[in-house]
Amino acid sequence: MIEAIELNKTYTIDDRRIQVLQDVSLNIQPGTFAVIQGSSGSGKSTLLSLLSGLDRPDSGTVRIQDQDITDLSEDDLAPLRNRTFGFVFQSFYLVPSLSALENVMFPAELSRSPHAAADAEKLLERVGLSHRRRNMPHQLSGGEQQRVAICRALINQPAIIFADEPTGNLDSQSGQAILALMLEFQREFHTTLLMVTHNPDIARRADTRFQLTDGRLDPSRDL
Amino acid sequence: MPGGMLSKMIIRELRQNRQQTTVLFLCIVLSVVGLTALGGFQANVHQAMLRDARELHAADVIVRSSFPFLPAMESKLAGLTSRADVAMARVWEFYTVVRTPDASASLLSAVKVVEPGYPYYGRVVLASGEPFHEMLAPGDIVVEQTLLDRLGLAIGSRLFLGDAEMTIRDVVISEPDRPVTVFTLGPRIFVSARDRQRLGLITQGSRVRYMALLRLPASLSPEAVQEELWSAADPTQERVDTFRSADSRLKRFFDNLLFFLKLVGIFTLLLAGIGIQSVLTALMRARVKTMATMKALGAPNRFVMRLYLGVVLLLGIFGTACGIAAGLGLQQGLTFLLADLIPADATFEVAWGAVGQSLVVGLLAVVLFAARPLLNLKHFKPSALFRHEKQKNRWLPGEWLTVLLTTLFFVALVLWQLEDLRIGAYFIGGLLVLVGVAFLGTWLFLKALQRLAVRHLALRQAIRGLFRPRNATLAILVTLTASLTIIYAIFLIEKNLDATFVQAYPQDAPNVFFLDIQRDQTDAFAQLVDRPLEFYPIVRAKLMAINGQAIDPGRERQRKSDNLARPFNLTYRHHLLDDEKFVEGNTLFNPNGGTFQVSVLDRVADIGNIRMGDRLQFKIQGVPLEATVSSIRTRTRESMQPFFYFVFPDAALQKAPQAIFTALRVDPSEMAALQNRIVQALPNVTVLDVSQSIRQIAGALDRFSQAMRFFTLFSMAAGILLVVSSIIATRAARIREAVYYKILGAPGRFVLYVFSLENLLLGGASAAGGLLLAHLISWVVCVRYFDIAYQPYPAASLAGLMVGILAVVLVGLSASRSIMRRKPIQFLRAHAAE
Repeated sequence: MIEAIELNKTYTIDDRRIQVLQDVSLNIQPGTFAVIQGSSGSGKSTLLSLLSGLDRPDSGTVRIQDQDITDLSEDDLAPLRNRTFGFVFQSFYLVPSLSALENVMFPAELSRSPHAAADAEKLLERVGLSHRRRNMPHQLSGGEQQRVAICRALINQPAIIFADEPTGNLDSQSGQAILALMLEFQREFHTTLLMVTHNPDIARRADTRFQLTDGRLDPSRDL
Repeated sequence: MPGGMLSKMIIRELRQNRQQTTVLFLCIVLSVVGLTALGGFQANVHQAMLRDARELHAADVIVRSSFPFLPAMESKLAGLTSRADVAMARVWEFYTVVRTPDASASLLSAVKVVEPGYPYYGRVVLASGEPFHEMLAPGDIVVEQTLLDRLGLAIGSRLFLGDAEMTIRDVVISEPDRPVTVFTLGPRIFVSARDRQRLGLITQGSRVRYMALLRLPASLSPEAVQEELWSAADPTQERVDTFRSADSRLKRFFDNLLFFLKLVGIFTLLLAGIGIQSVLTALMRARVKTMATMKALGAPNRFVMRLYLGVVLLLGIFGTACGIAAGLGLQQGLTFLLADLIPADATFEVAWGAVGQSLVVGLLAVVLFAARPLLNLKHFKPSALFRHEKQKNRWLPGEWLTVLLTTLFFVALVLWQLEDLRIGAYFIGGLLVLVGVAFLGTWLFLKALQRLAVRHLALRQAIRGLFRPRNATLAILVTLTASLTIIYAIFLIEKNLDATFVQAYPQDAPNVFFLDIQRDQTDAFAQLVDRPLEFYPIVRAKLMAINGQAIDPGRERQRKSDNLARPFNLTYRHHLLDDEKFVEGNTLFNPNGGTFQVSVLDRVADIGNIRMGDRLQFKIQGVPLEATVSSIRTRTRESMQPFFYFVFPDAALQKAPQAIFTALRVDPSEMAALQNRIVQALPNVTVLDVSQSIRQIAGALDRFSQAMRFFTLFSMAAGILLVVSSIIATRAARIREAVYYKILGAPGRFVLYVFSLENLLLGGASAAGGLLLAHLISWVVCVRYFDIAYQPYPAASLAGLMVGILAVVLVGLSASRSIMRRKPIQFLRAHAAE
């Protein structure tokens, strides 16, 4: 369960305060596919970063599996990010100095899994990239990089996957394939998938949708 | 584009890239600081010496010899002094042990016997303020305060010099032609020439420096007189100088010191230059989008070029000015560090010539080392806004020209600073070999590292980090290795010299030498000492030629090591010493080879490339002697035992003018009593307490190496700046790595661990490589150059290794601190903004 209570967030740029989120509260049930929708600048990526513990709200609370993570330090968040969360970003964010296989293995190795390599190999095979496992990120296409990023997010079988516009940098065919893959994995591993997108076609396939407008959740658009 | 806009942009570029510009600025400062300090210091010392060159030598023309002047010279001097307007004063300098009349105390002293007239220029300053020659009446002496202190005497006390009992009349404060006192073996005593015979100390074979000082009228050119005297001189033993041409020992000492410091200064300049190039390249790459935007908006190439040229020139001028200011501070520090070695009037002064030279060298270095990155600006295309294009490494003709000009600049700088083509070539060659070996070793190390299958996650990440694009790992490792090699080598050589000559003074090695024993005094001497002795006869001679090829004194004197132009002490015997063995030949002399054979020590054989069967021509007080090399010896261990380069059969030298010496191990508590006994009975015998001299030499050596180490630290600083510049150059990549690690669940300590390991690899590889090369260089220098046994000092080496590694790790980590602190969201937000 992901729970947000009265989240507020402001940024200060050159003495100018910008309220990005205002009194945002939400609940996401485990094993569901939830989408945060909104136009550019609506605060959806900020909300994702607060829910995933990448950033802290000015006020309000974030609970993950009944644990309050709002004020956890970076080091306290590290095991959560490693085992409970998985991340998929629009710009993939693969470690450039690691091969595809090593990128996928990395979170498992951090958690000292003895099967890191075998699990990574299996995942890459599932997404059809086993022949590219020795390739470095810059030798892969955008779609391939995102598939590697999905494998990396899944290797520790996390309870929640946070995805920030995962198809935003891909052509529509690759985007469709990536979405299908993510949903396939979500169902198979009973993972909670929280995705930020402005694509209505993707949003339509979600179990839960949240519409953000000017930093506020629009209750009328919640499912 | 209006100039106002350009200058505004230059200022903003400087402000926005504070880290890069700070490192760039520091590199520029470093490039000139050493050479400014050394140039200024050298100018100060030389200026002080030249300013009073006449006083430094106390005469217009000086004739010197280690022997009484030969008849031809005497007659020439007599001819000259027959002129009413030419004055001449003779001076005799030697060491002797003086004693109190009750024989309770004795001391080795530097005696200077002077004729009236000395010094023609400058003044001997006495404590009483009285005129020098008024106090130096027959039977009176003037001494240094140290002598009074050490012998517990006062003005008016009596003192025995040789056979004569003299009265101390005054204390000498300073003398014009003896500005440095640190290397003398004993305090000064002035004696009037009228007492010379009474002393009984200047006899055949005594180690006396004979001098004739001439004062000329203004109408007579010193150079003309010098030439006239040269025509009568025997160049093998007599030397004629004017006050302008005379090369003082002090000047030679400083020339040697500055020579080594300049080597380090040039090396620092080179490293700083590489730093300038590396930081500037990083700066350009960090600004690729800015440049692409400017070009996309229609800014021509030359605008972008002018913008960054402005940045470079502004930093260059400011950095060079600050470097010069810091150099002047350092020059003052050097003056302070070597205060008691430099002439008293060589105080700190701004040498504007040296400052001007540093300004030109600094700006030239900045422009040349910055030229390549600036020319590279042409490669940046507006399309970089849309896609991350890999920079093509295509060299423009201008870039090749820059490399050529930079090389020429460096070579010219080396030759100009070192003032010697041969040594300059050796330096460049040595540096190329050092950098080449460091490069090869590093390249192999990195290749091996790349292929290594590492299971440990953090170590694997650290190794991968070394190969991240723009990391300049190879350049960092090569420069750090080369600078650490020099630092470690200086340390190891100094330790070995110290151990051989100072610390590990062997228990059985002689600690006192008795010089100038006359042949008829050996029995009396043996009786006084009452222990087994080996007497070593010595015959002073000069080597004239090898196989008919004359020794070139000018070239020989340029050698930094021993040279063949100096007078040698020959000896004769028919047995090997305990610490000798043959390298070539089985006996000292060939039984059928006749009288004129010579056995040569390998050290001098190496200097002169002397081989078995070669014919060596000597001159002993004007008498020629030719001998064939019959064997080559080496010493089995380095010790304080006496050794001789040239050993002859008895028959060859027995009749030559000679002195005898011996060496003994004396318990320090018995030293004073024995010295007094000997001096009382045989006043002409000089007692040389070696352990005391060694302490003095060690003190000077320590100061010398302190100065060297200090300057080498600048090289190290330049190497460290390279590490910092590389971290700045790869800052974005490092932040990305750190953020990814954190997003994927790595705790902060993992990021710290990976970065620490990466710096540890850099520091470890460069320190280990540097130490290995330093051992190799130090071994060669100790064994081949100083001819001493080499000790590797494992514990000290390990400590040096640790210090080197720690320095790199700490600098690397502190430069990465802000990177490690970066929170993932800051990166994600910034990236989203792109």
